[in-house]
Amino acid sequence: MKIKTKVSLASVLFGLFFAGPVISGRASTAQSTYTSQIEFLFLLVVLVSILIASIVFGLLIYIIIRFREGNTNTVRKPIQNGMRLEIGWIIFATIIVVSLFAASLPATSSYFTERDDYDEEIRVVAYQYNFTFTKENGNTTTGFVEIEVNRVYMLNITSIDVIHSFYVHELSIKLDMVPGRYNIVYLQVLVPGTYEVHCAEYCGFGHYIMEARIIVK
Amino acid sequence: MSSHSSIIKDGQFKLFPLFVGIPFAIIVFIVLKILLGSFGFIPELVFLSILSFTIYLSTYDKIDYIRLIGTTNHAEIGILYILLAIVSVFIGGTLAIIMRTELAFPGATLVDSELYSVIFTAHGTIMIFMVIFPLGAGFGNYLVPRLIGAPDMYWPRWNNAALWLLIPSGVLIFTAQSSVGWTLYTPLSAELWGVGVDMWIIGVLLAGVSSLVSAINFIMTVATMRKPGLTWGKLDLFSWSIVATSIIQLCATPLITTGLALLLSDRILDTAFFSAVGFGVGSFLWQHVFWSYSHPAVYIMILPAMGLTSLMVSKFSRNEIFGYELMVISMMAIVFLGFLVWGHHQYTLYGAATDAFTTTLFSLLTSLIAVPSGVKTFNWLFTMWGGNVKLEIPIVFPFGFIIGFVIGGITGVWLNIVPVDIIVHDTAFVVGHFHMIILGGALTALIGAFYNYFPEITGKMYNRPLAWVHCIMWIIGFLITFNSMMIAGLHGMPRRYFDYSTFGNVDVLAFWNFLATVGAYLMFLSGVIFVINMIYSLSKGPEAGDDPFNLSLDEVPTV
Ligand code: HEM
Ligand SMILES: [Cu+2]
Ligand SMILES: [Cu+2]
Repeated sequence: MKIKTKVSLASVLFGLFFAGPVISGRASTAQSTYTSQIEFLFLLVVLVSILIASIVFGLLIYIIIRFREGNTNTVRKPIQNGMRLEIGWIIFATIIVVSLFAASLPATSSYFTERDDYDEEIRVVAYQYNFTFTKENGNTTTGFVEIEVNRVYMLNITSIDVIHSFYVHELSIKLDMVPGRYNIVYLQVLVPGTYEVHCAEYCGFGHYIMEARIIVK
Repeated sequence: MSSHSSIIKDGQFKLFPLFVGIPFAIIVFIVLKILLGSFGFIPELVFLSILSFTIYLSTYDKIDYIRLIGTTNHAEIGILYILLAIVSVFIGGTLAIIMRTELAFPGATLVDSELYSVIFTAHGTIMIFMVIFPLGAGFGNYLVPRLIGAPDMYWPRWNNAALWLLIPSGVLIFTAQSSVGWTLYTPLSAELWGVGVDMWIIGVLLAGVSSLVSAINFIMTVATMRKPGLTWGKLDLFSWSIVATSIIQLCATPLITTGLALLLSDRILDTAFFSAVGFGVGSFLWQHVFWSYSHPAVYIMILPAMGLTSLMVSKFSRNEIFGYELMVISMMAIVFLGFLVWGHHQYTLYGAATDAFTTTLFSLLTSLIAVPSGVKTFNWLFTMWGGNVKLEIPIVFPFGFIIGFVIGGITGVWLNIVPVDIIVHDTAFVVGHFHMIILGGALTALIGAFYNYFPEITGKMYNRPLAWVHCIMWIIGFLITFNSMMIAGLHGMPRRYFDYSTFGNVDVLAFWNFLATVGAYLMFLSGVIFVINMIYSLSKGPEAGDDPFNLSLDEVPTV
C-alpha cells in the first residue's frame, strides 16, 4: 500500500515533466503528412519513458527509504544469485529499444523514399543568411514562398556557401542544406496558414536571423 | 594559518603562486575585457577572485609549489588535475551564465551574436577538455595505483607531462575566440577568416596528446602493475572503467588528431580535404571524422563517473556490487558499440532518395547501446538492496547521477527514433539531453567523488549542512535547467541562437528559457557554496580521522 503510493507519486511527477510539454507543444491538427506519424511516435515513446522512469525512480526511492541506515524494521538480505534478475532486465531493455526502433521504421521510410507522384518541384537555395525559393515557372522569391494546400511539393534544397538546415517545426521537417549537394524532402501541407522556416545548423553570426515563411493557401 | 606578512618573511618560494597567478589574472582580465567590453563588471570580478585566490594560496604554507610542478607522484598529479578542473569549471560556468542570461529574455539583452558564438564555443570546449576529461584523469591518477596496489603509474614523468600539456591547451582554447562551435562543421570552419579557429585547433590537438599519453599510461599501469593475486576478474570497477576509458581514448583520439590536422592544413595551406564542395563530400567527410571521435568521446566523459558511482554506492550501502561480471561486460559493450553509432548525429543530413539504409542501420545500433546503460542502472540500484545505506553526501550525489543519467538516457532513446530526431535535432532538446547526461550525470558523480575523498586528501572534514545545501540546489538546478531546455526544444527552439524574438511562439519559448536560466543560477550559486565550504573547511574544518563517515562504527545490527 505504502510502496504503491510512493511509486505512483514518482511516476506522476516524472510523467508531468515529459507528457505535458509534448502534448501542449506538438499536438495540433496534422499540418503536414508527416505530423500524424510523428505525433504517434512521440506519444508511444513518452508512454514507454514514463513506464521506465517510474520503475527506476520508484525503485530508487523505495530502496533508499527501506534500506537507509537507522530503519530498524526491515530485513537486510542482499540478493543471492542475481543471474535471473540480470538476464531479465537485459531482455526487458532489449525488447523495449528494439520495438521502439521497429515502430519508427514506417515513418522513417516515409521520409526517405523517393516519390514520383509530386505535383511541383521547388528549388530552395540557402546562403548566409537567407533562403530563396524557385518554382517550376521560374518565379524566384526570397524569404517566403507561396504554396497550395494539399498539393505535393518536392523541395530540392541546397546551399551556396556553408551548411544550413531547413527547419519547419510545425510541418515536422528538417533537412540539412549542404553546399554542392541536392537534398530532397517532400511536402504536403494539409492546413492553410503561415509557417516559419528557421535555419537549424549553425552557419555564422547571422544564424539566428535566418528565417523564411511558407505561406499555404 | 600564516598571516599576510609571512608571504615575505618565509622566503621567495611562497611567492610562487603570485608569480603565476597575477599574470594569469591579468591575461584572463584582458581577454574578458575584450570579449565583454561593454559589459563592465564581470572581468573585474573574475580578476579579483583569481587574485584573492592566489593570495590565499601563497599564504597557505603547507605546499611546496616548486616541487609540485615537477612532481611524479600519482596522487599529487591527480589532485592537480582536479584543481585544474575546479578552476576551469568556474570559467566555463561564468560563460554559461552569460549565455543563459542572454537567453532569459527575447531580444539582445547582454551580448551580441558574435560574442555569443565565441562564448558557446569556449564554454563547450573548456567544459569538455578542461573539466570533465581532467576530472576523469584526476581521479584515475589519484585512485588507480592505490586500488591495484602499485607504487605509482607506469611512466610517472609522462604522467606529469600529460598534466602540464593541458595548461597551454586551455590558454589557447580560451584566448582563441573561435566562433564555430565545438563541432567545427566545414566548410564554415575551414573558411572562417581569422586566427581564432587555428589557435583553437592547436589547443585541442595539445589536449589530444595529453589524453593519448595518459591513456597509454593507464593501460600499462593496470595491465602490468597489479599486486600479486589481483586478477582481471577481481579488479575493482573503477579501475575497469579507467581501462575502458583509456581504450576509447587510445583508439579514438588519433581520428580527431588526424582530422584537426587536415582541417588546419585546409585553413592554412589551402588544401581541400574538408572544404571541397563537390557533392558535399568535404563536409560529409568532416562530420564522419568528427563524430567517429566525438561519439566515443562522450563515453570518455561518462565511464569514469560510472566507475566512481559503483565505488561510492557500494561503499556507502556497505554492500557488494551487484552483478560484477555484468557490470564489466556492459562497460566493454559500451566501449565496443560506442564506436559504431556515430551516424546518429547525422539523421537530417541525407534526405529522401539517398541513404535510408545507413540511417536505419545506425538507428538500430544506437538502440542497442541503451541496453548496457540500463543494465548498469539496475545494478546500482540492486547494490543497495539489502545494504545499510548511510545517507551521506558522497552517495546522495550518485543518486543525482542516476537521476540525470536515466533522464538523459531516456531522451537519448527519443533522439534515436529517426522521425523524432528529425524534429528535435539541432534544437535545445539535444542540448538538454547531453547536459542532462554529462552535467546531471557525469559531473554530479564526480563532485560526489570529490566529497568522498576530500577528508582523505586534506585530513579535514567538510561542513555537512553546507554540503547538503550544495547537493540539493545542484540537483534541483540541473533538473529545472535541462528539462526546461528540452521542452523549449520540443517547442522549436533551435540551438546556438542568441535571440528568438522573431519566433511566432516567442512567449512560450521565453517562458521555458527563463526557467532554464533560473536553474542555471541555482547551480552556479551552489557551486559558490561548494568553494566556500572547501576553503573554509581546509583551515577550520574538524579533523577527519580514519573513518570520516563513521562507516564502520555505528553499524546497525541486522534484524
Ligand atoms: C542511452 C544512450 C544514449 C542514446 C541512445 C543517445 C542518443 C543520442 C542521439 C541520437 C544524439 C543525436 C541527437 C542529434 O544531434 O540530433 C545524441 C546527441 C548527443 N549525446 Fe547522446 N545518447 C545516449 C547517451 C549519451 C551519453 C552517455 C552521453 C555523454 C556522456 C551523450 C552525449 C551526447 C552529446 C554530447 C550529444 C550531442 C552533441 C552535439 O550535437 O553537440 N549521450 N545522443
Ligand atoms: Cu544557420
Ligand atoms: Cu552520439
